[in-house]
Amino acid sequence: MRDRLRNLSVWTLLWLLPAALALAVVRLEGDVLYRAQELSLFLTTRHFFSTQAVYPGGPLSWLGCLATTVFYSRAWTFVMLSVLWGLCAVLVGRLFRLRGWWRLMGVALPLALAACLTQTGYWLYCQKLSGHMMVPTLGVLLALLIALFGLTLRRRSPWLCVVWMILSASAGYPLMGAYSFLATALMVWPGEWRRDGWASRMVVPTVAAGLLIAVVPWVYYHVYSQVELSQIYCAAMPTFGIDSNDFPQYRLPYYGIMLSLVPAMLCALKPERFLPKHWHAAAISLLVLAAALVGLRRVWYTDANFHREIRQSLAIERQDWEGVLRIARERTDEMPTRIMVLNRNLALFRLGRAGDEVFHYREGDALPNAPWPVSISRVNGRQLYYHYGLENFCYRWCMEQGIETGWSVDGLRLMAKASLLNGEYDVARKYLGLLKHTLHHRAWAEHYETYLNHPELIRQDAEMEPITHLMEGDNHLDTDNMHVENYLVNTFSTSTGSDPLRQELNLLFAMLSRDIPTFWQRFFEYVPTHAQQHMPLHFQEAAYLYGQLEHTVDTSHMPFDDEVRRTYAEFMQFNEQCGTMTLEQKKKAFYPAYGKTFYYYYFLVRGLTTL
Amino acid sequence: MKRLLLTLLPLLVLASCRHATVPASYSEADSLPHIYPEYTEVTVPRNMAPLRFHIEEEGKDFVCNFSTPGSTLTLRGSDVCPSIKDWQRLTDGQQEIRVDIYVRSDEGKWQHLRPFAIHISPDEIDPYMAYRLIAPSYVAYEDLTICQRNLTNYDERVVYGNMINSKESEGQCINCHAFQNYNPDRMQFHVRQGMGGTVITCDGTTRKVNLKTDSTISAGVYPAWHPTEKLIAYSTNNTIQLFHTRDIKKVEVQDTYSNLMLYDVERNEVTPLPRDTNRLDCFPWWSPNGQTLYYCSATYTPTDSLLPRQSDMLRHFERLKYNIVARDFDLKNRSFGPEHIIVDAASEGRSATLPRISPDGTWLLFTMGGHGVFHIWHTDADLYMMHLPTGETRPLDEVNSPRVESYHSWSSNGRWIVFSSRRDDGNYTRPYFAHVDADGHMTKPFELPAQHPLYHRELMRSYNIPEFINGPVNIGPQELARVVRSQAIQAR
Repeated sequence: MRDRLRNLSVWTLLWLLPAALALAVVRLEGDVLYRAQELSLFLTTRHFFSTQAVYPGGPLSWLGCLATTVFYSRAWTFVMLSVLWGLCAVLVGRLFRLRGWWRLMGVALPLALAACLTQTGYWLYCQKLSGHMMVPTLGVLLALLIALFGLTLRRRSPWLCVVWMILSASAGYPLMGAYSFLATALMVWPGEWRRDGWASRMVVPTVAAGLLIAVVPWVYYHVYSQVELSQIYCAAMPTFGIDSNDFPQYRLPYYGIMLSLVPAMLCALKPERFLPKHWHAAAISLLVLAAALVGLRRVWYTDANFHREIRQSLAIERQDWEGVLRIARERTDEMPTRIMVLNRNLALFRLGRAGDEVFHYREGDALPNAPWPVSISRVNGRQLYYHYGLENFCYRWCMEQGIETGWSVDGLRLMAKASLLNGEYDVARKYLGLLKHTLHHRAWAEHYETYLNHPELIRQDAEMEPITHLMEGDNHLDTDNMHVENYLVNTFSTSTGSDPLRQELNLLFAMLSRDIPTFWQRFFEYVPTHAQQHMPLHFQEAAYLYGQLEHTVDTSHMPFDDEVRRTYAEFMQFNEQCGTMTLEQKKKAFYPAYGKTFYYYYFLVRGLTTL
Repeated sequence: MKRLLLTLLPLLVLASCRHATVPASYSEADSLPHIYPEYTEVTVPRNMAPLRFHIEEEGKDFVCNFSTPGSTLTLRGSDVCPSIKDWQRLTDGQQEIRVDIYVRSDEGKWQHLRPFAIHISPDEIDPYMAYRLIAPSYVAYEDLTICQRNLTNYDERVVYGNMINSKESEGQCINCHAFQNYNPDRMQFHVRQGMGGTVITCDGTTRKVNLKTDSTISAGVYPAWHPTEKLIAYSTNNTIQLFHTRDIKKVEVQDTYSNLMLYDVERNEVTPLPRDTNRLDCFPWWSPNGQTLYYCSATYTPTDSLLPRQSDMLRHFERLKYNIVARDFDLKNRSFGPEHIIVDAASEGRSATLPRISPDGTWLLFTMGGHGVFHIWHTDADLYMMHLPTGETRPLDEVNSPRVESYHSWSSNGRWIVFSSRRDDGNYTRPYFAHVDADGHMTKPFELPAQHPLYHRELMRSYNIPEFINGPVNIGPQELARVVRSQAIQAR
């Protein structure tokens, strides 16, 4: 009875612990997983499969893309991860013939697999392996299944096992790349030390496995025409390099996968001989799991701004502009990244409140938590360009990123929308046609497909209509040199426009540029078409300040709000009182009373770094 | 029994797709069917792979009937995919195939759309075509392949793919494959950035050379093999690109300096052609007898002396107009005669590039656009042809589209051309073929047939530099990769 109860407890834990892990991942990383699904692509076409299959391990990658589509739903993500990780934990026990509490050792593997997923961070935008978030889990699971079958055969005859090894390695390498090595290597595990003839049972498979692991990739090198020689042993593994920099620390979870299997392997030494009590097994297993948990905690990527950027991007997609601002208001004591600032400014502009509120939010240039310089163009440059009506630049960055890191739902959607706005309906049809082959975005594509035959709907679309106002201006040759923010500021602050909305945007960026002559040029274009409206507060502040600083424009007749004059006078008075303070001291001193004014921005927010 | 049924069911479904019958009753419709690719009334060589297409009509069911006086083939479904064997049976000794398409409406009634013909030309096409597959990108590149396609079926093989030698830290661009007189055993292509150099295969020997010398602007760029000698004419170019802020052309690629040079493959020797730095020469091409070198040439006139040359050129990029010019070549002395203008496009405010002479030396096929040299990004670029004996020039209205037509090649028998066109969607280049008769008239062009009719709609890459070859390139990618990894031999 006690044995049955113990078995039941172990089995429950074997499924419950991975489920708890899946729940934690979904709860803490749900937004990242959803974004990963958008930055990935899975098409239900033969061509999509063939494009993946030109590389060894391509089918596994294809499967990874399919599994990534599940991230569309948190509930299904939880179910999928629970089942896959639970299966992994159970299979480890079966493979290494663990008994009783020792079987809990198997849960170390899901912890390592979770680490591969949760360490992602900004690799979300740079990783080139398609389906990279799910490939480790699926690859390891398949390897365990193959190995389990091989070991079952080995019990009958080592030669049968060798035949299976040859078959699985030959077919496994093209299908699952380097994970087929894991399957082959696991079949060598001694398993049954005490049985007669274990040496012969060991020697034959070990030699066979060694030869297969060495030879099979080399043979396939002559079959695949697109695999670099030094990469043949890393097929279907992610690369962690950007430009000429390699970041080996991100391979730790992959070593962790191997390491997580070691305790279970050691159980072949029959530890119950030395540790006969059940509590011994339970304690040691829990110790191993605790160590794995510490490892997972250490590599789990944590950066609140990274999550905020993603949530803002998703809010922008939903046109939840207030949502973007809500996220911008979270933890005002933390400095935002430039990406967050740009998202916030876009939201304020779309709500028509930028001129009144753009300085009501904290400015900042917090660097993304990544060991390489994370460029805005990589993260959400294309989304910003799209919303600011620079459709060629949006399209360009979608194309460049699609080529470098693979096509994505997000990229195709933006390319389709940019093409619609550009009047390039045939190429928009191409991208919408592709999106119709996705599992979750068909309805979206069908919605925009109606615009192809009825372009007048573009001007009725709540998201696109304001963009059409920003698309005026002559064509000329230009480049952003990958500096999205600078390009936006320069482009809009120095361009003229006849549309009131475009004039507002131009003036906003002219104000942000802090260039006084440019501001006045945009200001006098803006004023006539907005004469019936109350001049936004920050525009007044800028005009009042520049009128005081330089007397190139007579501002004495301008109807400034009393608050503008008063705040300026107080600011200047306070400045005199703080004459000896450093810039940093002044920033702190001025912020409570004047942090939400243009004066503060002009004098005290300096040297922001944008990438 | 259940298992047996489950096994047989897919086979039955497959069989039903293959063998269909023409509906017994139907109404007639006057409109031509909408099919993709657009293959109505096209002319194809008899040795071409079957034209497979997708019926784009609204309907529940589709039947397509191919008929010739000798045979018929009836297929069911919106994807019409005749097999190679069936196609050969249909085209054998025939001049045209009649195609009848029947569409079943939601109400279950069949409609017969206006039939069309696919004309079969007895003029064969070269069995292979080489091209580069590249995403229509601007700066970034990742996976590039120079491929060869067997035009008589659907086999596509990679001649060389850049990923075989690319590392994250060191990418590699490959471009400008070229063959001597359709001969796959004499081939060259360039490798840029990582392991850079020009790979030249000639009569069983493959080597990598560095064509950049102190006397050249760059290494060799756009190549033209001499038709008989082991000589390659190259342009050398200093190229920049910037982006259009509004125009859907999106990018402007412009040479700031360019010149021509001659490379002697046997002597490994480079000879630049002397030139004024304000002249921009590009895209060389030999006459079939090898006695004339054609190329395009523009004159840069500074418009703003205060601006650096590059900025000035970019600001006034629309002012650069190229003519097609030629120079006689003395093979014995390896010397060139004076330059004479063949197509004076600049005087008409136009820009002509990519001269290609027909194998019989009668026709000059070229691309003309409003400005510049890199016409693949110019939406107004069209194909033109000049009758060389009379100088009569005309736009090829029968093959041009409102979108880009650019790179082009003649088949070895001079009866077919292949050209790059962006007519499908304005962004992705696809190869189109057209038949040329003795008078220089062309037939309605047709897109390269694909194994799956919708393949080109899904393909996110462009076909770049389609060139006919009279057989497959036999050297494998791994062997080429080995050569690419080797040290480049410095040209003299």
